[in-house]
Amino acid sequence: MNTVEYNKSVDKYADGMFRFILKNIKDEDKARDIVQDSFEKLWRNIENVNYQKVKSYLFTTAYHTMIDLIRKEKRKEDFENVDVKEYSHSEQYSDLKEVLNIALEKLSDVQRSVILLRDYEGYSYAEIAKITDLSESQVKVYIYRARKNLKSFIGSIETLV
Amino acid sequence: MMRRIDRHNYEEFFLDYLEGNLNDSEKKNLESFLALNPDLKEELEEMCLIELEEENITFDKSSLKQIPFETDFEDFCVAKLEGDLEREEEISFTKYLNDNLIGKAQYQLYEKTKLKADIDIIYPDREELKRKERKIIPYWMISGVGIAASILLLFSVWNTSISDKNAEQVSTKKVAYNDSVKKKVVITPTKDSNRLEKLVGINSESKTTKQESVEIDNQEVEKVIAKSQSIENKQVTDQIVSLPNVIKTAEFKVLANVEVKEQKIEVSNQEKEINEVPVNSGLDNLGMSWKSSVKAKRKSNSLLYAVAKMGVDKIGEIAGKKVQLEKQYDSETEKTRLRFNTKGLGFSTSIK
Repeated sequence: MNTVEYNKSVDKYADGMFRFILKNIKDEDKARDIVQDSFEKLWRNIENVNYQKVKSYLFTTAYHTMIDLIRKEKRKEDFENVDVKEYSHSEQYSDLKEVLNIALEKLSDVQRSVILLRDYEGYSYAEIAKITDLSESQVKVYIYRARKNLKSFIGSIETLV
Repeated sequence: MMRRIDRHNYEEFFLDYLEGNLNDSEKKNLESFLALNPDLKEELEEMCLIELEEENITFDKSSLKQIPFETDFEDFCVAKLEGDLEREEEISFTKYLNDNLIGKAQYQLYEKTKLKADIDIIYPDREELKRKERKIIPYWMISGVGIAASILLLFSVWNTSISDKNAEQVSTKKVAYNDSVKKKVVITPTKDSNRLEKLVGINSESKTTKQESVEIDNQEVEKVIAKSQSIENKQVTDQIVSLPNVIKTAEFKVLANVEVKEQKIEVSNQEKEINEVPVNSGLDNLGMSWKSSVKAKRKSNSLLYAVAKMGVDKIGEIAGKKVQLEKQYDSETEKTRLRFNTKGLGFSTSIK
């Protein structure tokens, strides 16, 4: 990979990576740092990274940096340990996007990551498995669970409304 | 052994008869038996009338096919959403949803779980991530330009030397006839030599060293000017002769990386050239001298050409590139041109 391709990668993937990380950790400064770190790692390994695989390289690097950060902080609540009845609150939601954002926050870290990679970036199970160091079947299970959880949340809100 | 038919076992014979399991003799026995027992003949005829018709009974298989959808409805919804269903499954499940309003509503909820990237979120300092391209100048370009610069320098020095030599020759003639003119001559080459020194970047120390090194040569040239020379003339010749010296220095600089041998060749040639300056004994006797400027000039040029060609060849050899310096006579213009060619660069100059 050369400098021109590196700069093209910045244009093509920086925003997507930033969105992916920001949606996961909800901290803009840290998301920026993770994106920055990922591109610095790419630059250091520019000779060894194929331009065709740079997107996967960047998201893998960003994902693992983020997971390390989350593990350090461990401040997120695991969706799977939350009773769905907890969604029954009186708060009114204006639109689906807002509801989804809240539902997304309630997913486990892994579920959130895989479903964001799936929906935001359109990755296949195999590609997500590579990025997240999971098996394809694990990825599939996490995505299915995430969908069911999101659907339950949306359903419960719609019922209330 | 043939069975015997009687009123106790006739049903068995009747059934075998109806199913076609009796042989010919058994059939004859049965007919004889029926003739003797007409009541049983009626019973057999009644049995023949009983015939079961095949009923067209079907089972609703579609309901069976819906069992997986009903059992694993959620999974099928996600699978459909993710595009994981086989074509046949996709068709069946879509049909199932269309027939099942509650199921369809549930699936629509799943459809809402599809996340869409918020394109308003962008990385704020994207330009800061970018890197400037590392410009790597190819070796051939460096070597080519380096060679070209060297040759240009050589040409400029050469051309100057030719004009200086002209000036030298004129001044020599003038010296021979009029000592007073010599003072003018003193100034001109000095200026030129200073300019050349600047051009080739020779410092005053090196100049002094070089002047000392050709002291012997200077003495030889002094013979040309003969008896009419004053002490000042010595200085003049010093400076005049210092010109080839400067040229030589410049050439040394240009060819410095080539080989020490070239310098030796050049020095010896220079010495030879100076030694070969003709001395006219008749004029000498009259206190005057004369020198053939054409011959000296040609010799000087051809010598410089030989040295330059050798240097260029050597540079090309070191750089591993094809570098050519050649003299070519153009019959149309009746001029001789010196051509220099290397990869991506070439020029020529008229030398006479």
